[in-house]
Amino acid sequence: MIEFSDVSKSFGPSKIAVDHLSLTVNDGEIFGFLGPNGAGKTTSIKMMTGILKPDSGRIKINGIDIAENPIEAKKQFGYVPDSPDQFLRLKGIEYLDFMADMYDVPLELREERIKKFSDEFEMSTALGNTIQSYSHGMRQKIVIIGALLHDPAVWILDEPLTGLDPKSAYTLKQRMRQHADAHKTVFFSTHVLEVVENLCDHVAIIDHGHILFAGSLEELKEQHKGDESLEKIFLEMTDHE
Amino acid sequence: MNKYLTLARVLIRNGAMPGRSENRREKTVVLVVILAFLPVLCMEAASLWNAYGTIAASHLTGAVLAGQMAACCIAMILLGILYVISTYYFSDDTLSLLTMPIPSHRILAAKFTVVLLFQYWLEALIVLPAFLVFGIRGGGFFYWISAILVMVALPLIPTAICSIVSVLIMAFSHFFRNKDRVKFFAGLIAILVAVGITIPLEKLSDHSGSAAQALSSSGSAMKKAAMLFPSDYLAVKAVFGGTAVSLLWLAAFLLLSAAAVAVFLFLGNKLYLRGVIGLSQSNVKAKSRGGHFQLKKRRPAFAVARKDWRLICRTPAYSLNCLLGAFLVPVILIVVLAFTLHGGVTIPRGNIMVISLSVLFLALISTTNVVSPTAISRDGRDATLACMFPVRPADQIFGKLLPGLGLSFASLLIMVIPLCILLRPDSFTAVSVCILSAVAVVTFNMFGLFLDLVSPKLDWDDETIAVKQNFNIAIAMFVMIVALGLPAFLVYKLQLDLWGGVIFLLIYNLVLLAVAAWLLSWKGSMVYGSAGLAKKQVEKTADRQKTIRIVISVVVVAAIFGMIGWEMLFVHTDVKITASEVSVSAGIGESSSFELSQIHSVYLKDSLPQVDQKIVGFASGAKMRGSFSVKGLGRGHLYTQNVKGPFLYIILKDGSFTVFNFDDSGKTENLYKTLKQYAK
Ligand SMILES: Nc1ncnc2c1ncn2[C@@H]1O[C@H](COP(=O)(O)OP(=O)(O)OP(=O)(O)O)[C@@H](O)[C@H]1O
Ligand SMILES: [Mg+2]
Repeated sequence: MIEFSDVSKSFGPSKIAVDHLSLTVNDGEIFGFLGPNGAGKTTSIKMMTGILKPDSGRIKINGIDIAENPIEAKKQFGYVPDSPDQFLRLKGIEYLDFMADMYDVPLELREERIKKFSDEFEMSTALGNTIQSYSHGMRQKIVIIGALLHDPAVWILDEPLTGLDPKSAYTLKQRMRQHADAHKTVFFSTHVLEVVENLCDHVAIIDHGHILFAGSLEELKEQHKGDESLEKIFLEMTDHE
Repeated sequence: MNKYLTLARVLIRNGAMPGRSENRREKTVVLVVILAFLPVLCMEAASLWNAYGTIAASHLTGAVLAGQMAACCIAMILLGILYVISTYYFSDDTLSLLTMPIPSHRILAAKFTVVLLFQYWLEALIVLPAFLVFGIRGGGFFYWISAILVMVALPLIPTAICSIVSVLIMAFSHFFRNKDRVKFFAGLIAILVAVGITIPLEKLSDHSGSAAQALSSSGSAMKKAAMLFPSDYLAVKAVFGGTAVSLLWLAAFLLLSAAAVAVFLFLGNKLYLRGVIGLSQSNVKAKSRGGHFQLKKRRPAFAVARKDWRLICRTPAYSLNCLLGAFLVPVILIVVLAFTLHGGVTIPRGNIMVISLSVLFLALISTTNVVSPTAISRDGRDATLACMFPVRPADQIFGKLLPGLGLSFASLLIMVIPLCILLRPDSFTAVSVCILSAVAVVTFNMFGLFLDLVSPKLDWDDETIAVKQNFNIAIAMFVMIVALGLPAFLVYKLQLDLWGGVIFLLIYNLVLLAVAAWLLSWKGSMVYGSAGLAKKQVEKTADRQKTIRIVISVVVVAAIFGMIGWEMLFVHTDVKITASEVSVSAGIGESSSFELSQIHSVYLKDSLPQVDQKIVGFASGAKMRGSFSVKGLGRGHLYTQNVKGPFLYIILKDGSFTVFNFDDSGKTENLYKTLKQYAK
């Protein structure tokens, strides 16, 4: 469960990235976060994870306020950032070991999970190489594995599917579904509308830091009866002319 | 030709050249750097100007110029190699140029031009003064014509050599197809060049014995150096020929230069692609050793420290700055100290000044590894990710602090143990210096980390920026010198005794430690607790940092030159004779005294003493002030102004001596008459 209440963030006096955003993501649902480039998706997600501090408003993860009890709140989620180009000098396995230390994962569990995930994402043979030598998709996969190692209740994924091959994308979507079905939370941003249509229970559309719509996919389609496809709806809602 | 020019212009615009930016601030920065180098050029020109008479009289103009040109060519090759490889192979445009329908030799010609512009800077620094001075003092029409053409063509051969070498290396050696490796070795070469330049300079300045002798010996050295570049002989003949025939020599020199470039373009056309393509393949590892990794659970602090340590070891820019700073600097210092002391010095026992200054010195050298003031900046964009880990701020900070502390204590040990053997301090001094400097090292690692938490440099594309162009390093150093210099000054001013002084120093350092720890935990819990690392703020401070850095370096350079100039031009030796002793003071910190009753003999001589070695003080040619070791006399004080006699020698009963020589020879003779009556 994720709760945004009246959250704002600006970069300098004229650049308002997120404007009085309120949003609730319930347990047991896959929540898609849509919006054009520069709409404020990444900024909202970074505030959730404690990387950015909101100018005002509160964010709670599983009922724990990230500002008041940061450590407990941070234990609740796993986060996949929008750019997987990180910790490039570490080997894949060293990165995973490091992430497991950060999230206090017991030794047996981390061995078991690293093996399971790296087999699933076909990364086992690459673990001994530095992340620098990975392709974009491989980097994305190692970051995803790192985020899932501590079995977080809330998944926060910023464009997780970019660069993944069909099989890995399928695996990840499968896992997202299972996670939500186990009454836990998946929150992800994306530009791919088919994924939203096939996968999401709820969506929010954000533009210029404002929420234009938040609710279930059915409600969205209900509101825009005339348009048959999600693409048309999206283009219409975010059209500024 | 047209296409080549367009390409060269694009490459230069694209920021391949330092200082070719549209940004106005960058332009001022370049201007300031040029201004900072002007004094160097002027000093060089001035000394050549003064020496011109002697050089011309002994027919050494050609040798001197050839030597300077050879030195310049060597510098261009050694420093140019890095620039050539990174411009030809590692710059961002390389791959995109390759996809365009442009032949290799045209790409290379454009890139060659970019490197050439860099080489002209070096040329201006090294040989321009000589060309100007020789021209103004004795050059005719043909001199200027040939000099200008030679100046323009001089970098062609060394740059072609660099280029040929790097094209060959990149085409055939797998070892150097790694950007990191190339950077590491190039950085190492640059350090060695820097050391290599300063050592002969020291030697030359010690050669104050006789100007003519020094000149002739350096003349022959220059001849030897010029043998390396026979083409420079052609150039010298052209420049000093003075007739139309010299134009033939000039033509030969220009042809040779053009030939070198042609050879390079020919080879490059064949081999460039091979190197570039090899480059994009070399990152793939032959074998993966995925299965053998031993997972281990660590406390978060140690996991952070281990990750940082790996980064330092694996990133060449970091290893060069941090590891060499931690190990090489102390070792060099100790070796230099061991050689200059000859084992003959014992430090005063139980002296509080010795203790307080040793703490300053040891702490300063132990933190040259700059690990802590760059701890956050080194992570770059990854640094913000640390804010999402559910780890107590205290653990994160401790982990960040550990590598810096470890390296600092390693440097401290490397210095303390040999120093104890060399200087044989009493145990009280040794123990208190160790304790105090250990406390200071912890304090300033904490303070450095605090600074980097406050304003880290995160948005870089090249790791060097994090450790080199990081203003936190300079602030940390500066605060450290002030914070540790102040108590030394107080101890001196208040005339504290040994125990009082040590207790004062201990309390002072512990208070500093507490302040640093408090600052660090305050900022650390803010960053890792909830606030995150402010990114926007960083971008703004970067520009300001640059300006401040430039201003400070200009001030420092100006201060150094001001001091040297002042010492050279205005300092006069003051001699005061009281009822019982003679006291001498000259310039900054040079003073000595001896008792009249100690005088053994006094005599006048017409020759400058033959100096073996400067111990402390100032020496530039015949101007010497301070303590020197002299052939035949041993160790004593020299206060001399010029090579012209007479020189007043005063030998004391304990075997030491003082030599005076003033600009006004009457003054020397008067002093001789006054002191003569005291000699037995
Ligand atoms: N560090 C920063 N400094 C200044 N402005 C920023 C910064 N980060 C983001 N912004 C601005 O905030 C706005 C929102 O950016 P954000 O990254 O959240 O967009 P996004 O919705 O994730 O876009 P995309 O779909 O391209 O990933 C943008 O207008 C951007 O210019
Ligand atoms: Mg984004």
